[in-house]
Amino acid sequence: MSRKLNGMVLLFGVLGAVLLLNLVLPIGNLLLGSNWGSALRSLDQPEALQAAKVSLLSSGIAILAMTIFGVPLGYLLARADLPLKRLWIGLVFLPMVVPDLAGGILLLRLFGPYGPIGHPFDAHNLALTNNIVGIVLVQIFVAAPFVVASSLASFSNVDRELEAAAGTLGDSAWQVFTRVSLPLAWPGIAIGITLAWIRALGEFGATLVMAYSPHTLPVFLWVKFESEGLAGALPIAFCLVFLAVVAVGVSMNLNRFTGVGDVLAPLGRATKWDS
Amino acid sequence: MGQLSVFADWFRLGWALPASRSHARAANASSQELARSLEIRCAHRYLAPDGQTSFSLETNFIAQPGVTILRGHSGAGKTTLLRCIAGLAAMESGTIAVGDRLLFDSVRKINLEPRHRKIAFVFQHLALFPHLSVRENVGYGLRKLSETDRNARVEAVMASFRIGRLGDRLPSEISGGEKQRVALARALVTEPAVLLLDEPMSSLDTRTKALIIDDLRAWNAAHRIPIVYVTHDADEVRALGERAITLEHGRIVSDDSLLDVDCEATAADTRRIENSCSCSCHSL
Repeated sequence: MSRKLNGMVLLFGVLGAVLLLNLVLPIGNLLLGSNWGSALRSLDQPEALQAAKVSLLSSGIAILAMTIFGVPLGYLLARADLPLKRLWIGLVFLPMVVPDLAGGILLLRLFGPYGPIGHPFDAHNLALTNNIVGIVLVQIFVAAPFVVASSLASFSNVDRELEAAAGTLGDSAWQVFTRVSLPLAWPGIAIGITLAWIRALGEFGATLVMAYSPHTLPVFLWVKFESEGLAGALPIAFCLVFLAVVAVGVSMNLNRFTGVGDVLAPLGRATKWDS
Repeated sequence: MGQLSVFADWFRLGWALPASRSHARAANASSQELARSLEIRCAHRYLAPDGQTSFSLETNFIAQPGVTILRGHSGAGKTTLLRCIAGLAAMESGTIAVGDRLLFDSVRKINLEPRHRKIAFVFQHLALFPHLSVRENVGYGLRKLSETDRNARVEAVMASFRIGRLGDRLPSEISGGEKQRVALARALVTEPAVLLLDEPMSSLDTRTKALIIDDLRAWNAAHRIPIVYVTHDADEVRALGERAITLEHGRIVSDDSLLDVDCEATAADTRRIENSCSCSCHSL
């Protein structure tokens, strides 16, 4: 039994390692092979700083909106007895599989100057494309499914008996949500929010169609690559990858900062309250 | 055997409840106890996803202050009945009242939310909040009190259930018996009008059970509210029950005082009853 298990672990280890190398090597090669000081100095130019500001501002607004609207939607999908529930869940996941450029075209058709929503705004000189609003709309479209899906899964994992117990102890539905459901689901939701932020920060294809300017970091990376080739694009790529690594690191250790639990719990690692 | 019956009868009188059938018990109960009784006339149907009725519950009884044991096979409707009483499951028709306070009345369209029923529920798996400390768990239902009053009540109830030293620990850091005490303390600190317990000690060893039963018995003697206690365990029935109701397929098939239950016991069981009776008398 032990031999069989060891053989299986070895086989899975080899298979997993091949994939892991494929994931890690490009990032490792960039981070280890780059001259960090030179890369950071290259960022010290007005266009790069402006692109970084646009990316951070737009993704910050987008993540706030996704959390405010996405967490309640995830809770409803997890708990409410909705008609056509499977359809709503499918629709939430849909933007994850729509190609970026196609997504951009869909959004442009809707929010563009001649779109059913964009036109009335445009008539009042409130354009929804080629500005920060357009970028935020794109980021919400592509990244919100991460927040909703993580909320849905996390709320579904909260033991209903705990919510019932809170009700018998005098809590209203709102109090049950804020005192029991949300704190227990939060570690999973937090990882979804972090992934959504990374996705929003790195969004390129749909942004290119919907809001080419002002440049976000990924669009600026494309512009640099087109005009200066690999040498000009590398510092921006380095900056984006570095931000992504920091974000993943923060999300995986969020419990140390917030004390609300372990964000890896939804991935199967035992939390400290598992008995 | 005759001696044992007399002894068991004396034990039951010590609990201020005559050993007789339920209708006689109702007639003899003091008006004060009736005013605190739980009255249930329950009709509940569970519909399977295919739309066909798969289970129906039709149950009428009055639980007076003291411990009423609810027995029956799995699927008999015990937990569903408790959930209906607590307002966690929707009843189709009937009434639920504590004294003259209506909690549910299908005719008069009254259906109080669980939070307004003043009914404490100890769940089978206890449902302790894993993200809160023992102290926060116990004080959970006292949100409306000032911090000083809340702390005083929490410390008092934790001391009475012998969990005072566990205040800062998480539920995952204490034993099964301690968790059980925390769940009881959390339920009772709110001073409920009714206490419902759904097989709360099914996972505990005999010695731990006995200690917790002592605590519950002492609390019951001091407060005298209706306690509906679901259990399969014969020892728990004998140690706590003043009345045993048996459900089958959602209907009451027997409603006996503990004496009647005792009569069904085997000789071996009888010896254990004697032990639990004498134990009860000491604790009272």
